[in-house]
Amino acid sequence: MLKKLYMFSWSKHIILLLLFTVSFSLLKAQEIQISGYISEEESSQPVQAALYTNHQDEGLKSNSAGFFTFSWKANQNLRLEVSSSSHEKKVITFNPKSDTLLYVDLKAITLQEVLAKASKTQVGRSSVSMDIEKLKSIPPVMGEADILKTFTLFPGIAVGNEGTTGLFVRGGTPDQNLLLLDEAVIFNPSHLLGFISVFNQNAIESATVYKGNFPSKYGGRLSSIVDVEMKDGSESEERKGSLSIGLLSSNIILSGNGEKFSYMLSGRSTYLTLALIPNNIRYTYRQTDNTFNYWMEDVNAKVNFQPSEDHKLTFSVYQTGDYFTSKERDTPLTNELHIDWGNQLASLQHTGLLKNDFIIENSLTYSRYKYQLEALQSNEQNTAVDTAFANSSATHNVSLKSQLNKEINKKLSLDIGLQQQYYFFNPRFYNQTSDNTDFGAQSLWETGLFLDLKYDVSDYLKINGGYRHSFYLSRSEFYAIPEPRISLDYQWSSNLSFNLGFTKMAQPIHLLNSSSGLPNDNWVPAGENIRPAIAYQINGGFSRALPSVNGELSIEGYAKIMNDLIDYPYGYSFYSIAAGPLDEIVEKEGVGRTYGIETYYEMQWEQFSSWLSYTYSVNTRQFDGINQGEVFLANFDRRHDMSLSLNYQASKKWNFNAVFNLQSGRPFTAPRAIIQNPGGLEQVVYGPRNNSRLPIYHRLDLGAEYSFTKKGRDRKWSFGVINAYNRVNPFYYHLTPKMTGSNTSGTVDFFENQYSGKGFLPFLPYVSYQINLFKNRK
Amino acid sequence: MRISRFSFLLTLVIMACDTNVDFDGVEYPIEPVVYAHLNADSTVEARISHSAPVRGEFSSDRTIDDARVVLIENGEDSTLLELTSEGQYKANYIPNMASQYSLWVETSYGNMLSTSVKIPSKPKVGSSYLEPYQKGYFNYTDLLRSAWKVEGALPQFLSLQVGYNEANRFQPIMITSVEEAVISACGGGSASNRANLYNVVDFKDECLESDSLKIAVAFNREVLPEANRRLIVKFAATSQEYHDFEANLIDYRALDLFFEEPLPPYSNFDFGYGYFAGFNELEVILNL
Repeated sequence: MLKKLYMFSWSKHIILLLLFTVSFSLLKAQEIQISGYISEEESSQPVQAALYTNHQDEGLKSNSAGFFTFSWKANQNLRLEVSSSSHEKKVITFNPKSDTLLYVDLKAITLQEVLAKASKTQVGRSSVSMDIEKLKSIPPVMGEADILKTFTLFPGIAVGNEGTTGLFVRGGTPDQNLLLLDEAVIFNPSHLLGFISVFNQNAIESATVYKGNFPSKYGGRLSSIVDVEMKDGSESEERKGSLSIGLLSSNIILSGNGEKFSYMLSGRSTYLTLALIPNNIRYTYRQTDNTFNYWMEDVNAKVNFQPSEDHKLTFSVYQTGDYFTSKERDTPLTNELHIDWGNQLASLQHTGLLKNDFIIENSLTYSRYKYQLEALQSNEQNTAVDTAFANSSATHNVSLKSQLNKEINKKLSLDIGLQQQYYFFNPRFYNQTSDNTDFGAQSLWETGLFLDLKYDVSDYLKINGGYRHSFYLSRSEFYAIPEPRISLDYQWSSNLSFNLGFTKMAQPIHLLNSSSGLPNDNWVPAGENIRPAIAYQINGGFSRALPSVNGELSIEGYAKIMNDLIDYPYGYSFYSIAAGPLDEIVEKEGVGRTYGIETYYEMQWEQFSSWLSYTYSVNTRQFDGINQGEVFLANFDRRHDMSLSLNYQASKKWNFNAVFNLQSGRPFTAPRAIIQNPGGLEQVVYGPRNNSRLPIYHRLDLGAEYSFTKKGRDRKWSFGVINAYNRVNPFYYHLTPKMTGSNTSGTVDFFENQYSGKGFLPFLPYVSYQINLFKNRK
Repeated sequence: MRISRFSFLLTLVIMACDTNVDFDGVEYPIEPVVYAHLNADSTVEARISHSAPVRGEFSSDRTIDDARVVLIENGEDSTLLELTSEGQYKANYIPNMASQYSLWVETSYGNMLSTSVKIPSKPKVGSSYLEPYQKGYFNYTDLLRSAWKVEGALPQFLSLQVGYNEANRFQPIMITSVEEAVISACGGGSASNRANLYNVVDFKDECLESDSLKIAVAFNREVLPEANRRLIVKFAATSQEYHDFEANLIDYRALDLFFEEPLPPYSNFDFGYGYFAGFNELEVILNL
């Protein structure tokens, strides 16, 4: 009996198992996978578009590679609507019977239609996603449209000294920005001593700045993530290319494709050196006592390879180089200075569709930033050349990242991943009278485990919870830092939404730099003497669409506290590197406190468009060794910062634009008195750090573009003027007591105080000409 | 180092434009300036003036002749310093090396009290030599290098001045270069900054940790008068106050301020500017 029961029991289990297997198989057979790529018909560039199906209330989205995937029931009619703000909507209807891969081409809207529909730059939720077309309609400095400078026209993002490229995001410093180009780190974004950034706008597909609400896949910096993506190659049969010629530089871009691959190649170079030839000749023939030369170049290259329908590979490389030489004759001596700096990047990325709707994204990147400064002095009577001073630094980063994305259901999706990074820093100093001083290469391992969950609680409320756990190993020191992040979005109505967020970020490497745009970057990793810096940020605001003006208004507030910051101690600057290991000489354990309100307004009226941004912010620092431990204003505390951008499309050919910027002057350390030193000389003495403020900063840039087609090729003239009314915005002041006379006996001298300041961007006209290298398709 | 700073900015300077616009800043009051020396072998001296404002006009005649200056020994005994000439005060009193002193100064611009100061021990200097000095940052051919050995218990702070006597007055000369090893040990040129300013070189305590110290100074022989080629080298052990004051008092050039945060002045007075410092000086004469 027992045996019978036992047998019965077994057979029951087997039957149940069979039933379950069969029903699961049947169920499985009904579930199929619809996936695909969305790209622009004309350029074959991937498009991030919204997708709606006849059974889905919520829209899906394609990712930055244009890829999308979702589940569907076999033999059920599918109506798929694909739309993007800058493309015509496309609707596909069919009856899929099995897993299906779609390629969807969207037709770009014409220029006038784009203007009418206002493809907007996305501002809000603590981020700015740049519309690259908008970038091209802003007056460029020295003929080069610059994405980093354009970001500074948006709220919460400021530039340091005029002309430099370092971003100051919500009270942070340039080293607190993680600059990524195709996932690879860019350590120094400056060309031409900071007047041009290293991002070649012709080679950029998209760019986003996160000021808060950071996705947890990003880590390692306190204040912002600047995620820039290089253009893909053309996937259409047409080869494409354009050449742009400016006063100081030119750039060229080519793209094309093969059977399973496409490519993009872009190069840029300055020919300032040609303009300097006469002065160099005059120096050679002793007509002048000083001369200089400068050369800069950068190259972007990217190859896309699609070995199968479900997998895509991209490989991109990027190289920048700046070479500066100056010579000064001070008979009998000749002084020479050589400065070279540049970035080298390589990035291999893979996107793949796995079973069960998992999307995997892998990346392997390598970045290097290197600079070398060499000052030589020789005696004309003695041809031997001595190296008086040399300083070099190399910074390397290798990163391996892998993440899985899964849309679990209509309401819940998750990203989970792992990132492993290795940093290597090698600063060196040398002078002829001492041995080569190697301060010891330093390295740092950084591991990040991250998880992002997006949950739509209702049609109105969305929660995005993220968690990153960072591990840092530097020499014998080990740090494990949890970084929770959360943001809420509440859609009050179709035009009004609110958001709230909290973020904790950690940064294991610190940069000592004068923020002057000079290339002397000295990174200091956390270790025995310096802890990783930590930032806590809360932000909240609202965004309101303004349909009547086809615009938007957003207001957002934030407060951020940063711990374990570093700064130069008194009497040290970037050329104090020879003083010893930087982690021993710097001021440590600084605290930064910053808060502000950011306002952004954008509107579109017929052919006229504009945006206005205004930020009120307070930014302070506190170090035990500075100002006797008192709180002081941070170097770039801009209390008020306003930017206005205007654009008028007068006709198909003519476009006019203007940008006006108005800011509080930045704090600086002003003199407090003049005293006679022990030697009896009059000498200026200075007060506490940042005890005064420079005058208000304002500048107007004007530009115009004339586009036309000739001999089958699109062409464009761009011209305008930077600093239209020649406002001198000095970034430092110097007090010099000038002697004006003496008494009759000559025992008493009389002085008058004179303040002088320097600004670097005077009235500066520009012109450039762009031509497509290949004839337009008929 | 200066050549790199200059050349580095050549491009920027060419592109730069000047302005003379003023700015809004904190107005600081006029304050007294006191330089007071406590010497082991001589009477106590103080020079008293006041600061000038950073806006408008001013004159070099800023001595204070109606100050009340009191030397306080070990917090109790006091000696009044008398006005001897414009802004110069002296006490007919030779300080005691075993005592601690502070200085009290009353002026119409405010009253000042220094921290306590002691006189350091006199440095001991051994033999010296001279040699041509042609290899170096400056390739002048008429440079000489002389080296001395400071022996025994090394002072915590040492000040070095080189010059000659002319009409019974000490004339300091520019010290072209200091022994490189010392510069390195001192932390990268901090010594040479002072040399550029006042022809005085200060050495921090980190430089003076070994049992003995070789100090070499390169100088240009041609600056000495033909008739009196006797080089006078003054070694002064100083109290920390003097060193800290010197280390912070830098005459910033315009471009320095682009790169470097200026140092606030150091003072061991609770108000005003200047120092009250102990000295113990040794003179060495070198016949060229």
